[in-house]
Amino acid sequence: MNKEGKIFEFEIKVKLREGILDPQGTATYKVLKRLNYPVEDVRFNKSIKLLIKENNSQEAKKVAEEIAYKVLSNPVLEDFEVREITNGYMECEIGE
Amino acid sequence: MNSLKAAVIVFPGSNCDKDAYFALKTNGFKVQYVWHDFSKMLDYDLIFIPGGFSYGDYLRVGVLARFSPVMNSVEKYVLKKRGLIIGVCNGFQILTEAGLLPGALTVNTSHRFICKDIDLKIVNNKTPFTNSINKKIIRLPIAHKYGRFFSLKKDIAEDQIVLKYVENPNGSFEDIAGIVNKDMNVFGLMPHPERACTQILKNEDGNYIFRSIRRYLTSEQFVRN
Repeated sequence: MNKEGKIFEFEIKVKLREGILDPQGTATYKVLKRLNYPVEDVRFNKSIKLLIKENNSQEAKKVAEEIAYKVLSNPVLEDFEVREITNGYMECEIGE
Repeated sequence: MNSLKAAVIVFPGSNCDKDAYFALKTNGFKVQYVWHDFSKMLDYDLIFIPGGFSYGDYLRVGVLARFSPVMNSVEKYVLKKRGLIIGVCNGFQILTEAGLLPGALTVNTSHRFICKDIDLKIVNNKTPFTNSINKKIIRLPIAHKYGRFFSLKKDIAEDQIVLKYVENPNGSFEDIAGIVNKDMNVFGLMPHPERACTQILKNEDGNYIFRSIRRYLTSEQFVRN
């Protein structure tokens, strides 16, 4: 049986916590400095897009946050941020 | 005496599984490979989680392997203290991701893959994995890009630190190269003992670790649950 549902789009940003060295950022910073750009710091983050099939936005956000917490980030090293991309959802049918 | 039984867990992308098999066999274990989707009870004296690039190391090193069915069996095995677990390199990364060991492993400060033999200080020889090491320093190969161990000081007790780098190659916290959990039945280390256990390879220091494991598992101290 199929039921009505929607797809919600989320962007998960995973970033290294304050104080954790980011060698990739440091190397890039050095190059930018050498090119005389007025750069103060460079940090690399990961951006992950999730499409989640749920009944409503709140439930979808709960799923996105759980995935970000359990799988996408490592709490020892990283923080994450979950953002819903507004008006990004599409009408669809949830299959069996 | 029955021979000790060891399992080498194989994930898609493991590449030190054969070295582990060879090293364990050389040290008198009866060895079997166990595939990552195995979800039954693990009936072995020792579980070896080998190095490599499980699941291509996508997302983060070790994290995708941590969610494979066999890791549920490994967690139960650890909690019930059925035997010992050793995770080398990618295996160490998987064990920290699974929360079976504290801390995390991230990219080397040099941002480079390092492949060389290095000296290691034995800082705790009272664990099931180091009880037969009578030297202060052993030499083992390392081969990793994501080997920088990181932990908060409060998350790791002094006696959990087993191996330290003599010259820190990757920027690890407090020069740590290998640690055990609080119950001392799980050992994770970045250097590869399984790549140093025969004269042909000009280095046999890895055997100290396998011999220690044997000694512990055959001693009266070890009670199999």
